[in-house]
Amino acid sequence: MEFLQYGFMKNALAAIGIITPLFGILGTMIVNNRMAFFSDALGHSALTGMALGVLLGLTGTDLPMLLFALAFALLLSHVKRKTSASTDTIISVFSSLGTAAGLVILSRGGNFSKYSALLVGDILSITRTEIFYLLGAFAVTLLFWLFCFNKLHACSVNQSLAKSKGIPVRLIEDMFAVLIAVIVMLSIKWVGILIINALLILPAAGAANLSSNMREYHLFSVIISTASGILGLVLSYYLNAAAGPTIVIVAAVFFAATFFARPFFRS
Amino acid sequence: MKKKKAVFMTVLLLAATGFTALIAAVAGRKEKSPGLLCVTSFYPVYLLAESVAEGAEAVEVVNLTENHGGCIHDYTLTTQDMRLLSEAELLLLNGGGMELFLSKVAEDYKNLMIVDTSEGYNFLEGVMHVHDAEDGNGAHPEETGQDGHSHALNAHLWLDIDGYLFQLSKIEEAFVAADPAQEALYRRNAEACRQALAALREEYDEGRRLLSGRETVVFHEGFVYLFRMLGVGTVHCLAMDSDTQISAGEAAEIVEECRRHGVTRLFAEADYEKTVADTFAAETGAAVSVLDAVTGGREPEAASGGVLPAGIALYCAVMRRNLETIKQAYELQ
Repeated sequence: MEFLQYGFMKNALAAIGIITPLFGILGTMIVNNRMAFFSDALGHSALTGMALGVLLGLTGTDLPMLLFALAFALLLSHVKRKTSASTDTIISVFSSLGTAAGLVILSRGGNFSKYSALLVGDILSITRTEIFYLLGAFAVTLLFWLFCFNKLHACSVNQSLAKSKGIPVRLIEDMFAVLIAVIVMLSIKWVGILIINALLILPAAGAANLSSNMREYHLFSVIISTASGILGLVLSYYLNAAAGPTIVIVAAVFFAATFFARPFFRS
Repeated sequence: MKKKKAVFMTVLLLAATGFTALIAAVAGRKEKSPGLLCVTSFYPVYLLAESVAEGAEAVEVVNLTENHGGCIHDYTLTTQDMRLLSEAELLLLNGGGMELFLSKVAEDYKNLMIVDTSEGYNFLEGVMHVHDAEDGNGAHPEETGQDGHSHALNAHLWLDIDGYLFQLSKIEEAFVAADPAQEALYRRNAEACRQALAALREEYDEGRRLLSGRETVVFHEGFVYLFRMLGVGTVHCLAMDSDTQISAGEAAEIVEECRRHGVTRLFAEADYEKTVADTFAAETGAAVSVLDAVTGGREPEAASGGVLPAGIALYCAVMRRNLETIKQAYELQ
């Protein structure tokens, strides 16, 4: 456990210990509600959010990123509900626009390299205060999961049925969209735009290979997510590799293992 | 069925943990060497630090960015870098906004002596600045970055020999302060470097007499310093050390400027795509030459019986070659 003698590894490990279970839970709900592309689009919108912050001349871009993501998420949900075009098309339009607008603003004068760290993320530079923000996000997610999961699940199965049961479908969906937006924006600096969605989706997808009910599904997702995070971080330390991508590779290995083991669990 | 799954998950987790432990055992870290560990952020600084500390006892100089080519504006720290930093006593930076990736290090490592080797140097302004002034639009949005860091400076001071001399003195003082016991050696090495750079400077002054008054377009910010020494005006500088393609409007503007100033020679950097420069060459009929910005590559090797420290010898060799290339480009040989 020699890696624990370094402050940056302790912080990274604590952050991973919060982010990965959080992503495990959130991922199952995202996969359930077929919103994988939605969270991906949100990640890309971080570029525009940051660009707006730069345009406004703000020193910290965290707040504009968060506000923009919230607006982006709610607008996307709204448009999705209003049009007859298929969801993935709408999300694609939003995602590309978010990326393009961000790139246009941030790359003015050939200065994009200054922001490219956002693409890969850097978990090693996380500080204690930021870990506490993540802890807060974790608590909120847990609350949402405890109180709203069944309703959200009902919405994902059949909206009309959910409505007839008196579930406020719109409110629940919007709340969920906002939750994803907040979590994605809080963690994007540490995980990176290019791979954040892999961390959200892979553990849930791996868990789905094994599970036959909701309880197993969530349990396995959290286990796979946390294990990938911790093992990936330790591996990246010894292999001198970038932490985020290593974690994703470990998660992908877990996915492959569960995928091939799937036939053995079919009763 | 439930039990089977539990067993499977346990086996899977154990296997993964075992694999990680195996990697940890195999890749186990070598013991920290006693003495002074000096970490440099960037190749030109590394060459200087190597030179000043050459022959010093129990002093190790390690370059953070593994001598990788190109400027390091977009470098991201790996776990090994962080480990190195937490063991180092002395960290030498290029400064001028070059090390964005280290902006938080100071907070994390209280025991580390951090020296900005360009502190107090009178930097040229960055590309955007020059450009905006020409356009007559005074807005400099890039000055407020995400971490409040300014990148409006042209940080490539090592391509001006006087700038490199400036850094040399800072590094000399840093070593003397960190390890006073070997002061004599550091002073001696620094003096040797100073003489080598002075000789190189004379060659550039010679070149200045031949080249002064000409104009060119360069594809690397650092070359503005290089050509300033030679009295060659850079009517346009396109910073190619970025991930961005140039906009169509900018391209047209450069072509216009080449024509207006009668620029017939363009200079690109070895590490970056020459294709952009080639495109302009085709458009304007100018010729493209490739220069080396001394941003990476070889490990300096001590020449047998050489009087010069290896790092500075390498720098001088590269800068000499650059001067030759420029002279050849202008057909002065």
